[in-house]
Amino acid sequence: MVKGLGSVGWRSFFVQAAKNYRSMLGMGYAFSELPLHKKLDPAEAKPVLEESAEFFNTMPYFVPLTVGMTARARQNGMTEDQVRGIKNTVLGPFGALGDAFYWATLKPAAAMLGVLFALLISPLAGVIALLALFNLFHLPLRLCGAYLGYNLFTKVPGILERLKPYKIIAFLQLLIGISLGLTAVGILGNFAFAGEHISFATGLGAGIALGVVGSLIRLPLWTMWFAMLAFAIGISLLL
Amino acid sequence: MSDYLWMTLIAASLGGLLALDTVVAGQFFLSSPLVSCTILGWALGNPLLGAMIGVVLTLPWLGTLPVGGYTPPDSPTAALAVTLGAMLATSAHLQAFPPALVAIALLPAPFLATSAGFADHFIYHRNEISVAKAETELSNGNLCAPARATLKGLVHSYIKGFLLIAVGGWLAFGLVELVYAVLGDLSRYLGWVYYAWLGLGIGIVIASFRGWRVPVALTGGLAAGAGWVLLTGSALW
Repeated sequence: MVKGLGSVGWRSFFVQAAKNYRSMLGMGYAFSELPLHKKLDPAEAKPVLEESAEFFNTMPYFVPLTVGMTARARQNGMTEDQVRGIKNTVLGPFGALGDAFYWATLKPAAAMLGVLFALLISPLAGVIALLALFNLFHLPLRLCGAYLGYNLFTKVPGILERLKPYKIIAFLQLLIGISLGLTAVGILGNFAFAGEHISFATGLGAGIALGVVGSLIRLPLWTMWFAMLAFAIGISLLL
Repeated sequence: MSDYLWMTLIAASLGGLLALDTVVAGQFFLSSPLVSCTILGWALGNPLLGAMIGVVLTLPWLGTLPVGGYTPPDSPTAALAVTLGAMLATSAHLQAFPPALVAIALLPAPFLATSAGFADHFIYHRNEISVAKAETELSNGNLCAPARATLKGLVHSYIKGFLLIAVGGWLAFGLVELVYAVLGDLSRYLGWVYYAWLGLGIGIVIASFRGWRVPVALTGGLAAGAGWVLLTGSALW
């Protein structure tokens, strides 16, 4: 086992700190990988870190996994060119999987659940639900990713496929839809029972309609924002 | 020092830290407006007002993804600035109707988010210089260079968050003051706008999903909620 794998996890939390348009996450990758090379002779570590700091861009949560895989590759005696080949091979699939799972699905699902709980129970419950759902799926991967990548090495793609992420995505999409429906009914129902706030329910309904139509015809957010403001002020003056 | 200045300092210092979570440090979703605005609201003495802002601003930007080299609008920084503005306004107008006050404070949110996104662009370009320097240091055998470049990036982003939250907060506060001065009691009717923007966010999330699953589940959620209301004769909350 290579020494330093344990610190890759927390270091990867800062992988985007030096993000830039030239090498993207390259310098952050080198920062995450640094503890693996501390025991090496500086002359030996220098070319490795120079290679690490080159262009690298993938979903940040998969960085520890990649670091573990490249550490194993180096231990197996692969050349820096071969290590670079491994990095270039995984960055595309990891990026695509990570973006589809974490950004496009888990983030909206956690946010919708948080909003629903904040409205239904309390703001604190909303905050806890949001953080619990989101962090449950990425913290283990980030904290143990380097060990997983090191131990599983070439088996990583197969195992990721066997985890069937698309099935979790499908489940989370259902969660988003149900949360959205319950949120809308909850707010409307609350207005209806409160009686005097029925005009607010109209505002909510009009907002939903404009949000759906505006997004479908790709209106910029600020246009919808100010259109909604003008509509609401106009109706308020009429009422 | 006046209370307003203290509030600004607390909000900008704490908000700057929370905003780091968006991209540069952690990404635990602490920077989600629902979480960060509630925390900031709690720090400034009104978590409920923070949550009201967080709920509205969590939704509209959910569909914009930081994929590849794309830098999306920085909604967390905007949300924190708006929260500061609303908190300052609450101190000035204690009798104000909260949804109306929040609605006015929310007005500059898209502008602030876009401005903060441009500031991110600037920082990424600035980072190119420090990273190039770090690469030179690495090739000279200085193994601490990646850590130094990382720290510099963190400091740049913190300064960005600090300044934008302070300036944006006062912009939102100024708007509330202006609207209250012009409209007086009529500003109460702006409570409408708060719920309209909440609806707008829900609509944007609905439209950002393709395929059958979300619409079917949405219909199920609507039916379940309506069933609850009809069977129990009471609202969901």
